[in-house]
Amino acid sequence: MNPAKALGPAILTFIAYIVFSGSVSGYDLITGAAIAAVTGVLVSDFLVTDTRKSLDIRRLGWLIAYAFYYLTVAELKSHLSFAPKVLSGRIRPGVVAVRTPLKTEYGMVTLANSITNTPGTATVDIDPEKQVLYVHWLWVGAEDEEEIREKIAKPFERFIKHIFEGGEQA
Amino acid sequence: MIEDITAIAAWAGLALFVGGAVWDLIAAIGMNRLPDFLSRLHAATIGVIGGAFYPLIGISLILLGTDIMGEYRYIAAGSAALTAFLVLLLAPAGSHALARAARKKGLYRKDILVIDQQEGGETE
Repeated sequence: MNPAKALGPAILTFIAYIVFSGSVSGYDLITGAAIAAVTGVLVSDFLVTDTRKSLDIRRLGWLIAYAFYYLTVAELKSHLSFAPKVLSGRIRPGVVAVRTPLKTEYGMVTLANSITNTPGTATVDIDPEKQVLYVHWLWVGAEDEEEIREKIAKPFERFIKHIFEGGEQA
Repeated sequence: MIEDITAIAAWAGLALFVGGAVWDLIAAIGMNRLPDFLSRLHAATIGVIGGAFYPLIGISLILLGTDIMGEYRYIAAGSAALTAFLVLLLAPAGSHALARAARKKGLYRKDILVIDQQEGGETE
């Protein structure tokens, strides 16, 4: 067992505990720390493959930047553009293949989740070996491979690449 | 100064909360109007993000910006914020499972798809 490996999940658990309990009294801090330590040790083998990456502060910065961009700009844009289509029922649906350069499991899952969570695009299947996501698109705006990638995945990939990809330990 | 910030937070939260009702209405109308399972999934997404995630964040902001619940407001605000992020992470997992199952079993209208780039997406 590696204490540094457990640190990432433990910090997350501690934050979740403090936010959920809504108090910073001594009792909550001590209980939270104890629970976080146990949880961190228990789950670290499943969640963490690269300790150095899990504690990298620059990746956290990119994650925060991504969350901010995604939750404000990306969501608002797709909500506003697809609400009229959903209301009128005038749609042009299709299943398109989106090729992605992302290789890690975390990266692909984050991309698939981001695509599904914006109205108008939903991931229906994933091929990890070919690095292709199959996306159901409510209004097919492009049929060319590059153009599809540009419209669906590019804005997210830029951030996800910095959060999860690269810097593998040799 | 502090009062200004809390007032802004409360009003922003109220806007998100009321906006959530509108998005939920749009999602419900879309659910009825759209023709097949996979396209209804997009209406459901509007209901999850615009109609559940943002209102929960809004509730959190309202509670932090006012003192309607006394000292319990931090507990409620924290729970609402954490619930919002759990919804954000878990809702797409459910969507993926449903979409993949519908796709495999062909429970959608193939005739309205203008393009289908997945070969052998359907097994039956």
